[in-house]
Amino acid sequence: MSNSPDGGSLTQAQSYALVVVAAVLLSAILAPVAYDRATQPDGTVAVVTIEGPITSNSATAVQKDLREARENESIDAVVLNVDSPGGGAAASEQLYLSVQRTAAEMPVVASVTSTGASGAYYAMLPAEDIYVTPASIVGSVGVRAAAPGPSLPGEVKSGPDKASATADQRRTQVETLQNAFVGSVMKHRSDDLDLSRTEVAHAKVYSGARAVDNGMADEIGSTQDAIRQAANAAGLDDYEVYRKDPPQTGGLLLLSADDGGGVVVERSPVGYETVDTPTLLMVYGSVQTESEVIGNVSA
Amino acid sequence: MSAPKSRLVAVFVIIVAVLVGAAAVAPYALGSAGDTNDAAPIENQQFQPSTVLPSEDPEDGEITMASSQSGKTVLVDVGHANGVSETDLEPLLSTLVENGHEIRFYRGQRQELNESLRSADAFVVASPQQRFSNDELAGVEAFTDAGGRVLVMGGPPSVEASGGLLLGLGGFAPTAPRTTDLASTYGIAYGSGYLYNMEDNDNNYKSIYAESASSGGLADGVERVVVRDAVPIRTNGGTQVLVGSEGTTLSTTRDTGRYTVLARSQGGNVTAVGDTSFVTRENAYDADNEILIGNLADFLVTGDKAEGAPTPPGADAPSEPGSGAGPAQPPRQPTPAPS
Repeated sequence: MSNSPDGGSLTQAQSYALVVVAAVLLSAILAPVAYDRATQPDGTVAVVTIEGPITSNSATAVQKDLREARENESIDAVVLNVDSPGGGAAASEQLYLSVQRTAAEMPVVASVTSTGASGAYYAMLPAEDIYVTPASIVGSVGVRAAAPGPSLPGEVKSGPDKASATADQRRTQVETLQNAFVGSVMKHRSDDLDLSRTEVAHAKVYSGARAVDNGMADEIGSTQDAIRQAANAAGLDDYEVYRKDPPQTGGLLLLSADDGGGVVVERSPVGYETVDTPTLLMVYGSVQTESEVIGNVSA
Repeated sequence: MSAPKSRLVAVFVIIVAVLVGAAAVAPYALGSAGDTNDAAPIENQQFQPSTVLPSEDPEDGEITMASSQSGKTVLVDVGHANGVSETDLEPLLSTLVENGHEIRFYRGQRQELNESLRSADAFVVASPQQRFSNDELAGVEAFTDAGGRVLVMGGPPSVEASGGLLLGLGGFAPTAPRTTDLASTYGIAYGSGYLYNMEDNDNNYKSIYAESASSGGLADGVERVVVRDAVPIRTNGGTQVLVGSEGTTLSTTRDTGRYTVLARSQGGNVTAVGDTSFVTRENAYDADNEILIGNLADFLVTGDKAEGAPTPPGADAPSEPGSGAGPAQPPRQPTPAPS
């Protein structure tokens, strides 16, 4: 009955052999896929680096990494690898919002390798846990405004406040940003903190050990510990780590103008290097200025 | 032959329609949103304007003087590398001029200080960066002993740029006002550090409120003033006129207390303020600063100074022999002649 048109017919043995060969060939294709499936990790922990001064450029790069983590379905948790003294106030706020958005979708754990102060501390506030080492520092919850330089002789301005602000206005600006910064610290950490709102506003920096003790940070541990904690929080027994390249920084120049007024300018690609824009800063460290308004005692 | 052809076309059209239609409907049927950014909004109450915007005190009022005196001469020191300029003192000086008094500046160029003091009724010293010589200190003392009024103002050390910053050779050096020796003569001492208040302030921790601690006199009508860069002052037997509001803290010790910001000496002829910012035009109308400035102007012109003090060297006291080229120091009390 199994006559082929050319009149030939397979024996039973030949038929079996054909089936076996076909089965082996098919298995050879499918087995690696099955093996891969069996050995595939449950998910991925992405490590996003926040390094160096926070400028609008570096913040945009980190925001892009975080958005990618949110959109990539294979990424289940994020670890922020932080080593930054902070930077621009607006850029730090943007980072905070981006980390907050990410933390709403997946576990985020921060690991401070060396410095996580001021704007950088702001950025990692929404993290579930903040890991520090005994020598790393966190804190400096404060804002500072560098004094604006004098206007150029002969310059024509359209209004009294164009390109300058009175000390009163700058104090109010600093106070406003400080309220938002301290408010955010209290929102995310008030359950852990042993410090009052006023003590936080003093803008002290704390060593890792002290920070864990007073609730500014959560655990002493390495970035590896933070990755493990993030994986645990995401329910991953078996995971792989995806490290994002740190964004290229170096756009922030801390200059000391010839009048002694420290200014911060972002290196502009289109020739704005001559414009020294006084900026509100959330930065820890010494910025040399003649008279600056600081939102706290030791920002 | 034509029937199968049209049937083939119909089948083709139906298949295309079904597939394209299914692709269009599938997202709704499967519930997969194309935009993964469409996440739930996040509430950040701590950023709302009602939460973060600080309240701003209105700046109004007028600087007026109660005294009906006129024709007094007020000498203003600008000859000791003072950290406060004539422009900074303008609200106080304008008020005095408006009320018929004369302002003179001691620049340290043509005349000795004591010579300038001789024709003055009151003396204003703000943030001197050069120390007063012994002669000058004695002259000021003789001036107040004769009923002259002295107002001393000084804040914390200010950081000043020195040298050529462009070449990187200069630096920032803290410069402390040399108010100590001048004020100590009258039992008033300037402290170190600065005052701050993290709770009750005018939008900055260093902009503290000072409240009246006594009634009448310099505190008359003053409820509280804003001082933006103050040091505590201590007195021996003097009157505390203004003290920092509750929660005021000293930067160096971090101790909270009622630190004196304005005091009047025991004799009443010397007033010391631990701040110079309150008198500038920018701050002159904050809180009750304008009332305090008016009261200080009254203080300066309501003294009753005897003519001719401090006396010129050698006029009524023997000059010390061998005291060198400089003018002899007039002793406070004439030394009794050896009998």
